[in-house]
Amino acid sequence: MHRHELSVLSALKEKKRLSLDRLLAESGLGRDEALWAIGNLASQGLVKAERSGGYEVRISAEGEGYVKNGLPESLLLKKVGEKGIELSGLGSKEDQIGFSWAKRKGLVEVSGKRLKLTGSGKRAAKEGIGTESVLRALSKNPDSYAQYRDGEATKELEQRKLIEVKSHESVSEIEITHQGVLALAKEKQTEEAIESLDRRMIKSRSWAGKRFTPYNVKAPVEPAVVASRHPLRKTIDEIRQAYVGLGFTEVSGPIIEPAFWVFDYLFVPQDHPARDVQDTFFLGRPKEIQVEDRSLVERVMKEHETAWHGEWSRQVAMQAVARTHTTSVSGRYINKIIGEMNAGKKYELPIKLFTVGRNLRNETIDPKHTADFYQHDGIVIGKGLTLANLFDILIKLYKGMGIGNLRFKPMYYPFVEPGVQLLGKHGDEWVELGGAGIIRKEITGIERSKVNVLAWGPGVERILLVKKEIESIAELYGSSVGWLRKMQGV
Amino acid sequence: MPVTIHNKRYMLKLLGFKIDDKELVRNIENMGPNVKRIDSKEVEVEYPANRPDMISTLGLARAVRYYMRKSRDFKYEIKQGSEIAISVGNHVSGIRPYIAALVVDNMQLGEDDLLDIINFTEKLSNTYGRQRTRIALGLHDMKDVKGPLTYDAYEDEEFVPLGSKAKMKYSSVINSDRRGRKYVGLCKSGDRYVALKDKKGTMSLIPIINSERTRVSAETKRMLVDITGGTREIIERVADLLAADFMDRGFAVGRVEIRYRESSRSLPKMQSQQFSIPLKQLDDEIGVAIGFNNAIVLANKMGHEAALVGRNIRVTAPAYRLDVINEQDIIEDIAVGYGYDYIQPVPVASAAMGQLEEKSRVNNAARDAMTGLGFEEAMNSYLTNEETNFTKMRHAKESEYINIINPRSGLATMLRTWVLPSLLKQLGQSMHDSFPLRIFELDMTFGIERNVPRETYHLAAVSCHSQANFNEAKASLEGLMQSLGAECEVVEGENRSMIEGRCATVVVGKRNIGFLGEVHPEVLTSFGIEEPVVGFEIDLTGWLDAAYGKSGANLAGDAGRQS
Repeated sequence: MHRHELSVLSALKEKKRLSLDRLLAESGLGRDEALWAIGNLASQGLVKAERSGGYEVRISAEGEGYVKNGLPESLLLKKVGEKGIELSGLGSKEDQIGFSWAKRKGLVEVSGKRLKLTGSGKRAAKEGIGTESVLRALSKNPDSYAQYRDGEATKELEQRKLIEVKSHESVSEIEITHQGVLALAKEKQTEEAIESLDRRMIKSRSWAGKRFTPYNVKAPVEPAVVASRHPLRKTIDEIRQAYVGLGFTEVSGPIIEPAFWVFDYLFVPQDHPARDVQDTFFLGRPKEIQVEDRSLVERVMKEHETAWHGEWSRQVAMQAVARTHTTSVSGRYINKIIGEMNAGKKYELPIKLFTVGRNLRNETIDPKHTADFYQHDGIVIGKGLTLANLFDILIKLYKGMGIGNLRFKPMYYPFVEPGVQLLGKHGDEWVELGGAGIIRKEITGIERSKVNVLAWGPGVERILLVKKEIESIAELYGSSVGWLRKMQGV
Repeated sequence: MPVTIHNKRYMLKLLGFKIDDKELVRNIENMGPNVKRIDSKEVEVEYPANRPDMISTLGLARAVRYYMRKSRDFKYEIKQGSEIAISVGNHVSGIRPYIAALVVDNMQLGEDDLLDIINFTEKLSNTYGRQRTRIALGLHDMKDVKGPLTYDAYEDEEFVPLGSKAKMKYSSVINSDRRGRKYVGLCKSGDRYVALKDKKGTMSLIPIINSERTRVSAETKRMLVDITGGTREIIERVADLLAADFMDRGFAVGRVEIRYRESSRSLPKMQSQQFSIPLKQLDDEIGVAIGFNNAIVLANKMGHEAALVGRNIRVTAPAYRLDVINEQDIIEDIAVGYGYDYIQPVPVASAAMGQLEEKSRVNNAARDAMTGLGFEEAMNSYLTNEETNFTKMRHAKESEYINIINPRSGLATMLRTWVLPSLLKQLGQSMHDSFPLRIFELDMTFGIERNVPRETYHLAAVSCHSQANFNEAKASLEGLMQSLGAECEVVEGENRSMIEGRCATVVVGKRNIGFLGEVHPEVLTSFGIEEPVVGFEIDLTGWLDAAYGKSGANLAGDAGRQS
């Protein structure tokens, strides 16, 4: 027995008789499922289904004509009469239709060239044709359809398109029969379906020989959320992997810095536009951060005053800022390591360091724009390092990050000479990824023939943009949970 | 990078040879500038900020001609002796002490030349000249100029400013002119105004506006250019740059004597710098074998005169190259002349092992644990404002936080002291997403201790849905700490952002590292959140301190900070 049928019988078990609506509620079945099951059960005599509702009967134009004049076969019977007529006398179209129906109903027969009434034909000529009387009755009172519904005549009228019937009838009441009650008991006995499996059943094996209620595997569900890393974080980790794979060691440094480490140490003149309030966040608390290494500050001052001619202000250099690039971290390590080398510490060259970190730039902030952005900065401190070495490292590094198509172009940055701009292919266009170069000796404080430093500091979000086709960098920060979920695969 | 829009027809005329767009773009870009756009009428070029000689169409065309080896003439001749003199008065010493000038003669200006020159001098003042603070320029037709010329700061007086018909006082020019109001701080010292005058009166109210009387037009045959600023070396080098530009236009340039009280200078000096660089050094820094003859050709391509002296190459950088400081700049030029596209990558020999910082490993382990617990990773700005960081969280404004003095918007006035407000803000924006909403963030927070900034990693997580309760948050926290191998204790605690009696303090060792609990409904409302939220925030740096006894400051990113 199908589970829908079982549901119907089960629902009827107690009350025996239910309206369709009650049955739907009790069985939990859908209307179509229930009607299908009721139809099956009724045909097996397990339930009785009562129908209610009505029919709409309409007499067609052709039918109306026959109501008035009689059916063609009835007219033919009259024409043939007791005596019969010559076949050649059936000329009109109506005669032809009458002949074909009278013949089909066995009311006339052909004998030689004459047409004669049969026995039932004679009876019909006297008593009238059943079909015709039903048609007349329906024409008079369409509601009388109920009494003719199952008769041959109505079937014929529908077939001949003389009437059109629309049914509004449906199952209204369902009653379980005695056979139904027995069938249900039998079904219950042999197949007690298991809804949910539990610990007790598994241990006792009581499930054995029983049926599991099947589920609707097509029923829609809300997909579970796969919690994942932020797309930007994934990119940062890929970058870290690429660096470590190339033998670089990770370092980091402060985000809150004196301007000295962000600009002055890196040979950015004090009146450079990057130091403008338009570009850099200056802090009120703390207002200044002191750089304690006096000889370093002295040397930086001298380099600036020689190269840029203006006066170098210690106070400007000690202003507290939010770093605008991670190159400040590279600068701190260049200073630390070269300082230690000068003091006699032995290092195995080249030293390869990297940092990935967040920076802040004084952008106009609104829900679409943020001041935050990431950068990855790398340095190689060694002897005899060349521009050709720099290109080699950058090509390998970006390959490791998944960007195979890289181009180099001359570019000016105050802290490097030569300066290099990195471009990555994005579709048909070359997108600027960031800057690189060889650190100026004004920064390292040592002749390049002794030690030189390759350095670069491109953006991270750009890599995401080139590789992963994210539309707007601003979306990365503070977006809705829905956006984070959308980005799962990214 | 600053941008100039060049008239293409004029550029091609100055180049003097036929070249298609693609080839032109390639050559310009190989020298450093970026071509933003090229069409039938214009070429939009971003020029490097250290190369003001490339601002003018003439300057860019000159560079292209050298680069494509169409030009090999490196001489700039100026006749000896000064044509006129400018006396510098005492009153400018505190405000804009220096002036340089030059005379341009035999001029035949076309409309294109005039536009190029005006655009050049304007852009030079605003970019390289740092909005006229470092340098400002003036151009004067000399036909109506009568010596002697004086440069000084004067009391308020009248002249007819450029574009005006009537006489105006300095003070009213400044008040009525947009630029005047912008530059007022640069031109006024007490009651005196910086100006250049001749016998007939004011030629220029510096650095705001010239006089109508000395207006330069296409008919101008003889012109005086003045350059003023606070650093003598810079304005004198700019005079060299302008002199070269005018000479390359086919005009003659004459000197002007500047008479300071104690000395005088005859300008422009046309100072070219000379460097002698061992050939080996070129190869050693660029990483390709260049060769003597090639080195000379490459230097020439960049506009330098070059010759061999022993095993060195002697390079004379032209006077207009203001960016050249020392031999490093010449080596770069030779690399650019060689072409970055042609430099073959060479591997660096090194057997070093790479490794991540300890804190990156710990942070990643914590992030893995959180995603494993079903929390999605969020990232938020480090910037916030007092309203979000304190007020909406039902906290009183503290004084120990890092604030910004030049915010562009009220949304970013300080650095966040904790992460939870950022996450609540995100939840408030996610009310249309399907619940439960679970997010976390592990990133930097900022504070100050004894006026020293402190950067610490915080981990905060929130869970928002109709059934959210304290135990869920506690279970997540304890699961996290276990996976990190730490033992934490949860004791009664308080936080104004949380419901009283449903908030706890998280203790590792003897140190409080954070809190956990159910967010106060008033806080929820202030962020537009419509379902309960539970969560926690812990100081991971603090935890590392407590767990390993390591310096938290060090792990928080203070590695490079000098104490």
